[in-house]
Amino acid sequence: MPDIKDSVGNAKGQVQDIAMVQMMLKVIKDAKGDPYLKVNYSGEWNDQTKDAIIRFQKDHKLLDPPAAAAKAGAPPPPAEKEGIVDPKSATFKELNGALPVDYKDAIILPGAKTVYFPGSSADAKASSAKLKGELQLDMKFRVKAADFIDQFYNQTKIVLSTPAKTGMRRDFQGQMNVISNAGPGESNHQFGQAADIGFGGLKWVDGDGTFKTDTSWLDLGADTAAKKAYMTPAKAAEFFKAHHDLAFGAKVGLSPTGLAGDDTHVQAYSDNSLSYSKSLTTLLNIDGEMKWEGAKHVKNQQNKYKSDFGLAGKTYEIGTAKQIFGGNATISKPDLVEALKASAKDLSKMVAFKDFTFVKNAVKALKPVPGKLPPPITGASVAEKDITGADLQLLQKAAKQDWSKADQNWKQWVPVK
Amino acid sequence: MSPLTVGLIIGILVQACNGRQSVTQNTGNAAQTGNAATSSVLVSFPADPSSALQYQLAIDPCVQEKCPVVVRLTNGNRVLDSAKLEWNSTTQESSPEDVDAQWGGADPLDSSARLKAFATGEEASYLSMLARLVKVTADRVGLLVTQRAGWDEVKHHHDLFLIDGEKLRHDWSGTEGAGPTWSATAVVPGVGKAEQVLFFSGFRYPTEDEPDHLSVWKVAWDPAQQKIVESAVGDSVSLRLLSFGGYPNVAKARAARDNANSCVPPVLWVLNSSFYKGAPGKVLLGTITARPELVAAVLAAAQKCSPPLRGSTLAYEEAQ
Repeated sequence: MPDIKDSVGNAKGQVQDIAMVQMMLKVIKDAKGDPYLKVNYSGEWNDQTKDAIIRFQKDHKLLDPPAAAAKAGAPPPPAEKEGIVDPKSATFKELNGALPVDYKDAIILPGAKTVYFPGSSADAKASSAKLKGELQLDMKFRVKAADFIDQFYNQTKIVLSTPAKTGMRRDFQGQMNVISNAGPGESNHQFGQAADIGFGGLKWVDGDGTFKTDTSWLDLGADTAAKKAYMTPAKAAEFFKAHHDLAFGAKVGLSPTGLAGDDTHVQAYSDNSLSYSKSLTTLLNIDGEMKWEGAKHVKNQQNKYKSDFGLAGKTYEIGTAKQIFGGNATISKPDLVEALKASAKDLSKMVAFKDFTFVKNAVKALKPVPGKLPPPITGASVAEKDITGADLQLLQKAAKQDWSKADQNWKQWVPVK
Repeated sequence: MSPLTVGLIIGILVQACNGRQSVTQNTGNAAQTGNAATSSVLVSFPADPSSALQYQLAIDPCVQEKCPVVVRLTNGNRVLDSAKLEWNSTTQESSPEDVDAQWGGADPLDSSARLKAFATGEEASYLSMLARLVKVTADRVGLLVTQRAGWDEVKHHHDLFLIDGEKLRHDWSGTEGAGPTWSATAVVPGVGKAEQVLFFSGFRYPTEDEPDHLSVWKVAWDPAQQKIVESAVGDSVSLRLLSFGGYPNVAKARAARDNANSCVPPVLWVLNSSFYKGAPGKVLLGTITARPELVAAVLAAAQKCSPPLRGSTLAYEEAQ
């Protein structure tokens, strides 16, 4: 049953109480079937609200002198103040009595202007359990995130949930398909350290008294036909404030992303505590055939990466995460020739180089000497003309292979500053 | 080349040749003096053809790694008014950044990178700013600023400023909500010699069966209200719907998009075909443009995808 904490009237009252009383007056109809409140409910006091309260009080004979009521045989009710709704007043009791049954469970957040309905505790438990059982998330993180869902439900009766599989762990390929500055391996979503936890399914009451069941991002109606979202950004911000206050407070201890507006996102640590490129290269170097380092890139601020091609020498810039994982590493022939010349490695024994044209030709040209091991095939005398387009593709494939291994090894990722 | 275009190019060249300019800042009111902190001016533009007034985009000094990004109205060395933008930078150091088709500062098909933004920070502290002039009426020039920020998710915030005497007037802003949003603003011809802004606003639903949405709004001077107003585009701009085919369901269209992401420059959308007159399939893969002359280059790029993606355009018309 709807509740208010303080008196509403005379241009006074707490925002959430004003909104609740207005909503009730919006959905309760008079004898002609018209709502008492002629304008949308807004949480802001106005003359229409005052008129609606008085009209409701008059229609329900709440302003009649107590003596008159007593004469009719009933015990005299407390005198009602015209245009004012007190929490324990007969007017509020009458409002609750007249409220259509579909609105009986309506509640509102402190300081908010949007009335909503509680979700079921079973749904909250299921949502929390689903997150806790999500093995693609880091264990400590998922326990904390599930606890957040539980606590938020206890506090607000709102069931939070993850919107879709992209809101959970995203593998490297999944990261290729989102609009993001972070490439594959550069988002904490790849390492089970982040989740998008939103309001999907929240049922709330629009200004005109109609129900809306919203999306995770509270943007229902945000399409060309409906012309923008039903819930205004300001209203959505009230819900997200409650979400953030709890998620990022001491009780739960999750961290936000640095950017305002990524409101459903929660993560295990602060963005300030790590470098995503250093963290990724650390992971790549655990099991990669090549040595990897980060390099800055200014175009749309995407990181670039350097590789030694597995030749154990200098590293060379070969592209962004999207380019490398996409199999399109920008390997330059002069860089590769320089790296090959400087290396003493036997290319015929290296997966990345054994099928290079000049390596295969050198192997064919070897004349075996009985009792002696063949000499190593090195790039000491290689020239740019010896490197074919197909060779570069082989190396692009080998570079991607290291990133695919890192994707498989995601549980070994650690934040590195 | 129009005087505005010349002003824009001069603004960019001044920044590119000289690097940032440092000025002594008088915040808020020209009568005030005393704040001698050094501000980093990214770019300046003429604000009024008939006076020496200038718009400036600048990064103010940092306090605890928060460096306010401001638009200022100046006259010579005097700062007449200033307005703080939505997001702070974390540094006053910036570097030029190409504004490509996905950046959010031009038409969705425009990958020419003729505009340069000022990028600051890296990874999660990345923030980039783009400023350009808009001739909102024959004699009134506005400054359109787009901020682009974020790492895992990228967000945009757009503001349009005008001048009112010696004050800045914040007439419009375009924002994005929570979730996988994207938006862009593009300056296009308006009525007569005036220009207007197109605001492209989209949402890429990550759920299995929900198509994305992409809407376009006109942001233009309304003579009756004497202010900038956001409204439906109507007939004022000839928009085209670029379609890479119709699909029977969202999943198939998404699969085609995943394949095209690395070879097609613009952000592609899985849109509900029933919203658009003549659109193929149940859902289509495509985008909306006000620059039909750029379509051929995008179609050519799509031909190089593996497998090749075939596209076509049709007049953008919402179904009733």
